[in-house]
Amino acid sequence: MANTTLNTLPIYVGTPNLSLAGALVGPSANTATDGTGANTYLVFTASASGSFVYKVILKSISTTAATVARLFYCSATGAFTAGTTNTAANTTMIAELTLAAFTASNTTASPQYEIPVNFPLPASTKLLVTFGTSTGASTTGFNPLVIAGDY
Amino acid sequence: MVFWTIEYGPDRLPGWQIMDSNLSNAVLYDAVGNVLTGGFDYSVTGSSDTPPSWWVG
Repeated sequence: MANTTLNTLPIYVGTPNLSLAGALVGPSANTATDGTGANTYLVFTASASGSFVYKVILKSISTTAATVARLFYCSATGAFTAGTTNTAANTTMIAELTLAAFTASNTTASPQYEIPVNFPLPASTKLLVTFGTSTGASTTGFNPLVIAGDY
Repeated sequence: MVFWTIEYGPDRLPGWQIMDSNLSNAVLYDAVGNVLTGGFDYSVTGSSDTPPSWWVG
């Protein structure tokens, strides 16, 4: 007997959802690769119906030192408190991206970094970002932008 | 070389992030020059024109 709860037609996102860290991140780093740590930044929370995430974009803000950006999936669905909510049991790395050093310029564009995601997130689950080494002073870093849509 | 002072771990211990002049390679050290490994949080607290006393680079 057929399972009538399965989708038989493709579904599309209903509402665009562009989400960003909301602040410059990067000067405070986190060397952990298991998703733990207080210097872990929430960049996206899926909607109550779930969301489809296309990609994460990173652009340098001012002069930035070389580092690695790490993108994590966190299955926790409640409020997020960095260093408490994200545990090794509920958080895992999706991707790493090497970010080259960049000197701020008004004649040379900073590198365009994109992490493709292209999969749906269950309701209220999250994407987190860390930086493996500090990008520099408090005025240098990144404000990751997540391109997604909500179901 | 570029010398940044850092505070790392839950006890905010002092250390260093030392990079080449074009900021392309970084190594983390504790206050006495041991390379820091493992997973931990840290923040840059400032920069220094002079290297730490143990630096022989």
